[in-house]
Amino acid sequence: MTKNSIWNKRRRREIRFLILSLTPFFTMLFIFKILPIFANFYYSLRDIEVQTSGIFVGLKNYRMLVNDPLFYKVLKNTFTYLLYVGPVNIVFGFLLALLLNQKLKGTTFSRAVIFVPYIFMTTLVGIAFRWILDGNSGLLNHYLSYLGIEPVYWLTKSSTAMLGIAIASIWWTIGYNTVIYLAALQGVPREYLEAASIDGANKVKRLFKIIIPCVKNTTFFVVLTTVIYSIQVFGQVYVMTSGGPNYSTLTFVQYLYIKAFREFKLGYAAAIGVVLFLIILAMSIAIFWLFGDHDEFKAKRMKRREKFE
Amino acid sequence: MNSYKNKKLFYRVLLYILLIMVVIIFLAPLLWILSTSFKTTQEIFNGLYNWIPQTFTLENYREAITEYPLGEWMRNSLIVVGLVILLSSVFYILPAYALACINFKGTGFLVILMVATIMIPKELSSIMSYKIVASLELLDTYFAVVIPQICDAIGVFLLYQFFRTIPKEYSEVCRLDGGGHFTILTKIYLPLSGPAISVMVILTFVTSWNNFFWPLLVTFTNKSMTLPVGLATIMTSYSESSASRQYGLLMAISLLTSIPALTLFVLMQRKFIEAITISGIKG
Repeated sequence: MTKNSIWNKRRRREIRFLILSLTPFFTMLFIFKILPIFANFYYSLRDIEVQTSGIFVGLKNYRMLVNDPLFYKVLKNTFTYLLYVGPVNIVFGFLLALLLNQKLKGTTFSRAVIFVPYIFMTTLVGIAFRWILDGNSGLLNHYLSYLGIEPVYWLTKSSTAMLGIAIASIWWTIGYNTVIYLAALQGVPREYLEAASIDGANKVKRLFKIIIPCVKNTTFFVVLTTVIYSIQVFGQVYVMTSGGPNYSTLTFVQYLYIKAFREFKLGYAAAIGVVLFLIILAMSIAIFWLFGDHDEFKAKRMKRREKFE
Repeated sequence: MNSYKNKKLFYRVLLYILLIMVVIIFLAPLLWILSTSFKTTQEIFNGLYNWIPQTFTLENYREAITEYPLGEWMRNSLIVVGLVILLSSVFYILPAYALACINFKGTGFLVILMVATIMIPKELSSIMSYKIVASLELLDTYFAVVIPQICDAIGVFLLYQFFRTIPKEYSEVCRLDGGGHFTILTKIYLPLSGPAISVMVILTFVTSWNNFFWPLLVTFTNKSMTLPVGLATIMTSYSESSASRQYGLLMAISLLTSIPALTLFVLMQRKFIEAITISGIKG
């Protein structure tokens, strides 16, 4: 046998291994992740049922969507939720990590306490907070009454229901951001901080000039996941209010769920899915742009300035 | 100098007060669930808000176990999660190795494709996935619950990144001895990847155990219903008024069904947090 044919045999074996190892996963990924996104576009142009592929109806589903007053409510509700949960989860997630990063006794225990809600099932969080936020005998109202606040009927009034859900969600998920920020903070080079303190930078200055820039990549990740997960909120709403009262907590995924799997209007639900996909895509691009380009842009500007000087 | 010391002490005390407040706020809901679960219905609504039950009762727990198929749901959940972990181990390790260690055209494309899907919400795939499962007449089976869960690209991506850190020299030696890729994977890569694989398993466990949306769509009976869905059916079966009389029971159910995840967390707290952190940083 020549050297070449041994090599060929090897390469053939390698290709066989390659195909065998890649095919199962990528087939699954294609069928259950990638294709369904395109399928949504296709379905949304049809009147469709579970067992059939239906008939082509053009943009009818989208026309219905534009004229659907509930759809606008859903948009408003979902973004209201994002507005409640997003900033708190990001900013306080970071502040909690800062606190846990101090040299204090009991930080390991505290870290576990802040993180532990995250491992509970959404449904459990929903059930527990329905009790804690109960208007008549809930724990939160009891302690708020010490502050002179009248009982709030959190989940049964349309003005506060979404806030109630947001409270539960924050308790449930903030620990995730904290843990991720904590790891990032531990990666901030000590020398930078020491050098800054020798130069007389105070704590606030060190926070804004060193720590926050150093954890920028983490902030990018945290912002991206918090925004995307908030837009997808479902389980808490399903258990705590089922979208009520008066549709004040009906969110995107909840609406998609109802249209697709309660009313089986799959074409219409697909149109909702397409809009959700486009919103998430747009927001992801915006976040990428916000975090990505700035650096290069600044670097370019710096270089230009250096040239001038 | 003294005032500097005082200032420092004051600062530390302030930090400790903050830390204690944070711990109390985060623990309070949990302790309240625990406390409620041991109270009688009468005591729950006595308006005293006492944290320690006056008359300690196990009635809620007894009722939870006898009145609801918690055991069956728990069994379904454990089987589903077990299958997902088992299948995903095979499904994730092989492509991760192939992408990381074999040179071929298209590696870059496949990796980008994979990463791009991480951010796509799984709810968006539900319509087509449901049609597939329904047309195969697999609704309300373990199969239906498990299958769409084993295409989570983040697991593959984490392993891929880990495999890339293993020096190529190791596999060269094995190659010179005539070992193929399968041998290299099982004899060299896997023994070195314990930490990475455990991270993947924990992540898969957390995601699959908490998965709610998909099982809600495809399970209808206790034959395949997982815990999150079962609990939701309990909750939605109560109207607003009757729910208010059952909180002791509901809290007992909540605690009982959290036992598997809680135990795992307490036993492997460090690993758990590490797994989440790694997924965050690399993801």
